Amino acid sequence: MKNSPAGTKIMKTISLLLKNDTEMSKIEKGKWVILPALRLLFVLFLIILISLSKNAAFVIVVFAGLVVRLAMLKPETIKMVVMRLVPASLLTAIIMLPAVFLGNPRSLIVVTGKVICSVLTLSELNASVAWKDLTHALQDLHLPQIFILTIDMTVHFLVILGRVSNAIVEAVELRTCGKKNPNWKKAPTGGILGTTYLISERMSRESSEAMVVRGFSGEYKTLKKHKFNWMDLLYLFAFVLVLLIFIYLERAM
Amino acid sequence: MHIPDNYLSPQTAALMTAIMVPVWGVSIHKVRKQMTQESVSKIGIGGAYSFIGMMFNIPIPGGTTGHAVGGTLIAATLGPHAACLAVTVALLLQALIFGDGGILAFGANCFNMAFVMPFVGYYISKLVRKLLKFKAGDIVSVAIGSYFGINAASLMAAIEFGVQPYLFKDAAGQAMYCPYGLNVSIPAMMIAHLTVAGLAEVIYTVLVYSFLKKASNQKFYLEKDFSRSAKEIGDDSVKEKKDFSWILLLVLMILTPLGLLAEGTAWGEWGADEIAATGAGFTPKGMTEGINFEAMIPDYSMAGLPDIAAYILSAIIGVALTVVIFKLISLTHKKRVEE
Repeated sequence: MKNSPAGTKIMKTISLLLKNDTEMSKIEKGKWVILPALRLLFVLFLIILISLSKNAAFVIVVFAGLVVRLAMLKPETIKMVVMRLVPASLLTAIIMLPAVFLGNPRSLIVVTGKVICSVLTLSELNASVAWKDLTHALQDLHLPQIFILTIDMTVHFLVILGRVSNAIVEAVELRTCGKKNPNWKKAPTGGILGTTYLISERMSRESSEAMVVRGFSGEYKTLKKHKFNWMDLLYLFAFVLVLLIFIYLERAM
Repeated sequence: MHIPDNYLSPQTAALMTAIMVPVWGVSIHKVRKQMTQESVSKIGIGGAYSFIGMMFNIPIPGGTTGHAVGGTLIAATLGPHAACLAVTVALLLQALIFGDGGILAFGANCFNMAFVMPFVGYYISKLVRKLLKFKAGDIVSVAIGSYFGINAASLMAAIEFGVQPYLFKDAAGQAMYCPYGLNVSIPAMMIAHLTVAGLAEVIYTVLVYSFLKKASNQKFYLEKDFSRSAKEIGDDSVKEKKDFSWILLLVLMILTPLGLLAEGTAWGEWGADEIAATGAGFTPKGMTEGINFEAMIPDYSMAGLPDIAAYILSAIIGVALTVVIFKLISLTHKKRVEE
């Protein structure tokens, strides 16, 4: 593999993106306001309806609701959500640009709108529900335990290994300071990835041994008790309302 | 008062935008210096009130309509520079998403409603406030200031409309853009704003200002020179009191469809297909060959949705986007202003 300083920049960018994700996970702690399973189901339901809708009106209705939700978040959270939204929307708009030249600019707006709504709803879920609560949600939805374990471990190790590779990249950069030997500057991306892989292999072995020692049998148990309250009822009402609006608008078209 | 595209020549539009660039620059600088992160977020609420105010169309004798703007309201609560930015964002969203106001005419609309109105309104309010030293003096001064503010803005709009036929004519000697001269545009705009639209502005300003005075926990900009301890503008001076300024906003959003009751188009906001029938007798060349921007939700209506639902939805989108934009802008400000 050809040595390239750009490789360290790529690794650093990936590490920074993963670092932002861990910052986002520092959200509402303590009691659940709304059952996470309900939130997750609503998001999936909404994305399906957005994809199925054939008219712009439904997309705009959903967009209105999502923007109101966005306006209620803190400025830092809004920034994080918007930073995820912009690349996806721009990419979609660029891909759909030929539609404008072919005389159908509406399809650019509709498809881009659908992508905006889908990414916005997922980002808002990410902003308001901690990852560990989402695994509880998957448990409440009776997904297979092995599936939940795999997703959970993958997300955790993505973050941990992101930090590790970031630290390695910083170490490489520091070691290039004042060094006349050009070999230090051409630290191969392969080397960084390889070191990260070895560390991950050791970590996974240690995690497995720790799980066995602590009696983890692969089952996820929900320790938090949540009483069904009026906020959950509101969410169920939102389910029904969105479905009715969808049916009404599809029939109207 | 929203000037559509093709009513002003590109040269006029460019000139008005060029005039607004330093105004925006100064406003951004002043707001950055005077306001904290939290108070910049409140400018979003101010912008939202302005957006909603512009959706309440009121019928004016003669078959046209008018509306409040709320520029003086925001200037009195958060300062004229904050008002400039708030109304600018509201106008931008209206032009881009709802097709209310032209894209090329954006600079001119901002000059009238985001610059002239808040500054004239604020300084007249301040002058009157010095004379009225009783308890409700601020409300009365804001009412008077808002009346003068909206009329100053409409006079500017009338002049911008009225000079077009004198300056820009085609080979046949016909006006290329707005076909009505100053002798028509000034009476048409001023009569409407000296009467119905001006009254609407006063009522809207007084209503919202009085509510905010009771429901909000911030010190108003207008009062900073008249109270004993002049604190940071928009700061929570009474920590125990919660901010309920959003309640009236919610109520007004639900009531926006009342603006649909007024039929007729505001003076100077006719479409290219309507202008000949208004008395001009012809459609200016600049309108038939000018730019034609298709907004996403034109005239606050959507195919497939009843007008009332579409109007409320438009209000929701406008208000929410205004708040989001200013929350994002607030991240560039410091948490505390240095003494």
